[in-house]
Amino acid sequence: MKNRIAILALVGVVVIIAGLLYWRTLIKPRKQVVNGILVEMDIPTLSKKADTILIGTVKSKLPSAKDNSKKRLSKVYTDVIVVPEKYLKNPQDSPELKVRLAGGKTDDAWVWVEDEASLERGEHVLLFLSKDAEARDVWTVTGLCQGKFNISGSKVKQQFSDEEIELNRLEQQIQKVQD
Amino acid sequence: MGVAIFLRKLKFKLIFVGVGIFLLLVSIPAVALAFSYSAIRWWSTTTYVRYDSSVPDSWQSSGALYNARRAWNNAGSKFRIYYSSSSENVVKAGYYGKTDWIAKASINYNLLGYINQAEIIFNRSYPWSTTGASDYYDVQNIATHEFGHWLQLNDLYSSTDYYKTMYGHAKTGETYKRTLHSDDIAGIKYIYGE
Repeated sequence: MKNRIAILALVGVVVIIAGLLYWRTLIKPRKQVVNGILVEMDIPTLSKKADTILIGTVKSKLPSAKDNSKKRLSKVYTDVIVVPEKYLKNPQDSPELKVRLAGGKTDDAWVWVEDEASLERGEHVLLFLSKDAEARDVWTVTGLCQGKFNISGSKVKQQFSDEEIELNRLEQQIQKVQD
Repeated sequence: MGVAIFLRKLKFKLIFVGVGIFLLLVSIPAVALAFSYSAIRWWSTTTYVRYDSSVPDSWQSSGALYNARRAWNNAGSKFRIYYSSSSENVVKAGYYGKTDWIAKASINYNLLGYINQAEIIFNRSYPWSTTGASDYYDVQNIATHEFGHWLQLNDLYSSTDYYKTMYGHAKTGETYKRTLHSDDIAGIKYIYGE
């Protein structure tokens, strides 16, 4: 009799654990991936559209937060702080700029936005930036991933691109549009 | 003595065959995967979609959205996307400003990597047409790309991927994404089988 009760109790515990696991893993949506399709932008278009263009370093990444603005690619966003070294268009007074990226991780949501620029601490980058449509003193990367270039020595490479070009050449292209 | 020599030869043969199999396994994915897959997928090989009232009637009556689904349904894989007015997976359209994204696909998935719900949103702040008109984004062209995201094929950005449906940028007047490239087809077959 005791054995039967023990077996029933064990089966009950297993069923409850399995139910919880099923609910958490199969039913409850926890993660989201957002794939956009972007307006194709070449360097002259990016240069015209950007409100400022700079060379700088990513200083830090702030904790992700939520925002219900429909204009963003996702409801979760992550701010990064960029320290400018040199401006190629429309210099700003502030010693640091806050750049808002779509996607991130909060307590109850994880959103990956495939086409967003990726900015990691310590990265040396050339950025085309637009004023955020919703928040003051916040910037977004123009053309999303298209507006971010990694700098390595005298070369730059656009995010996701397989082609490296000379930084000087890119600066000249940007300058030419403004002249 | 003879047995010892035989075993030594067999050992070399096994090493040779092992290295050969390893090199083959390493080289096959590099050749075959000319698409990008996120490793997330639908549990079943059939899913359903409905069109929200925000989607212009002409996008349905012209067959643009139907043809976009049909491109993937006819790709030779087991996967099918059918219309159902009660589906949780929805196509919407709205005005979101000139935010540099023309359309987006949002996919909710669970910890096991299975998709629970999906949605496509067209940004009507950009000009749209169902005829491939030169100054407009073509609905079928972009819808075919976005349904590719529902299958969880990712965007491609290399210049060599330019004429694939899953190339991540689009221009006005462009219609080539309506027709799947052989690598797009290889992608859906890889995920859902033939």
